[in-house]
Amino acid sequence: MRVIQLLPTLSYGDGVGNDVLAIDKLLKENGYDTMIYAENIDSRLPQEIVRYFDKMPRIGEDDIILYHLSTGTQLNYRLSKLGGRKIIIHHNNTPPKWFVPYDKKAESLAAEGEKGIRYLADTAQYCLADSSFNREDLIRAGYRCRIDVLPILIPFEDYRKTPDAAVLERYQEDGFTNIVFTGRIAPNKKQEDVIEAFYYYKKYYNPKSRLFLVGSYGGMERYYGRLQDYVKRLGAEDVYFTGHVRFDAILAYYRLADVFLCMSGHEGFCIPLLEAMSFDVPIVACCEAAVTETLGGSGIGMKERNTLLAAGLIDRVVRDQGLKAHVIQEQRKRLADFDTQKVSAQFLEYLEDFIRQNKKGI
Amino acid sequence: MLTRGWSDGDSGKVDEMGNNMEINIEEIIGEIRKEIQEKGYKETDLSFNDIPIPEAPTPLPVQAPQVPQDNTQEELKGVLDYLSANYAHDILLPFSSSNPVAGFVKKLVRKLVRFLFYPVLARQNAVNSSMISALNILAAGYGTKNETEQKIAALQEKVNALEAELNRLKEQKAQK
Repeated sequence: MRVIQLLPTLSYGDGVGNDVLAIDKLLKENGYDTMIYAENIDSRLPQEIVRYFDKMPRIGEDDIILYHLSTGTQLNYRLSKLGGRKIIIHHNNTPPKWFVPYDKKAESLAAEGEKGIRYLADTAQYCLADSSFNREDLIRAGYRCRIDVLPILIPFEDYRKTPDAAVLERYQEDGFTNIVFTGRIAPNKKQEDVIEAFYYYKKYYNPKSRLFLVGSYGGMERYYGRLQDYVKRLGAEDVYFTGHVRFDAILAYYRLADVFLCMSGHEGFCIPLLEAMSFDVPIVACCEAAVTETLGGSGIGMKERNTLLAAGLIDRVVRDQGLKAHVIQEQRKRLADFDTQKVSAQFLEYLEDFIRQNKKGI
Repeated sequence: MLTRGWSDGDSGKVDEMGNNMEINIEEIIGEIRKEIQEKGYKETDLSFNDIPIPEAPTPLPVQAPQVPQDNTQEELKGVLDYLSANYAHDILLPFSSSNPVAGFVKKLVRKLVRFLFYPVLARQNAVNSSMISALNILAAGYGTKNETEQKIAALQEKVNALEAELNRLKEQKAQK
């Protein structure tokens, strides 16, 4: 019996890529015969752990395919024709409506993703969803198989690496309060609301503050242009779009952060929340989609999308050291739920359960 | 359907939005609302919806902005913006063909050569991505260059003043 991980694109350093690599390591450590196959492979990844999909061997009846579902791709349609037992790991697909005014290609890819999710409803014998929000997504799409919730595996040890010194040197200990949001520039992340909340914070509470929006805007140039125009027309100063930066630079921005502000409208999990937690950065967030669940009672969650209120909450958590300490303490407790060993053990338990209950050809 | 859920956190009692009730967020929010009202903090009249959506960027290939002669930070940022937005290439660029047969042939050829170009493009995109990251870091360093030069100039002035003061004191001592 082999356990094959399959996905359209294996990127270096993104959430799904890290999850795939962590599962690969875990399976190997536990004696499984395993391999990763992808249609597109980041060249920074070693060939001995991942191969191109067209090199995938014939799948035996007792083999298991772990298919990572997150976007529109032809693989969604080819999966059902492959042999073996199929487990789908659902990482969420951003609904196409978010991209409608900005990018036709992203919109059609997201629409294809939605179709793919529905198409695979009868193919999956078992599903793992990153969050209950994603599980609901599958249920709405007609999945009738067993669906368990298991968070994405995050390599927290990577966050202890050395942050970029140039970024730290430039901004640290200069008396400014740093508000940070990390994540690609995308309409579903509603960076316009992050900007607006920061604008109020700077105007009404703390003129010596700055906002870092850390993330690539590749593919979302029109949304990025609109955000830049918004910053200009608001007259908001000290708003920095970093663009695509290296991992050590991301670490530096977390180190600089006084508050992590998340106003996302759609997230299937939201890894940056856990990243902020691991850096002891208090979180102020708008509780929509999977954000509430990932926060799990920690951070400061807002019931409503109110940027003026967000500004007030930022001010409060920055000034009130008791509140800040309490928020960080709760975040640490929540972060423990996502401990790599804990999630790994749960993954193996779910996999072994599936193998026991779906024995084939052995 | 059988489902098992992941922990929602055990950090104490939580309200329906998942907030820890020990912090009493509702009370804090109430205080902030009161403060906003008392101090007359107003929301801006400008809505994000009022901002027009810019035109789609010119499809590649285009003439990339040239690195400016005077290397001003603003212009350097423009070049970096362009590079950051265009570093990744996609084999699935849209075809502009009015002839459906020609369009079909182009698509067919693209499918046939996909196996050849996809890995090459993926590798090139990864290299481009690393280069953009490096350039962004260098640009961040360039941004601090002027600040460093200003600091050096200020220190030089201080040194000059201290040297002048020292010389003056030496002269005074010699006269005594």
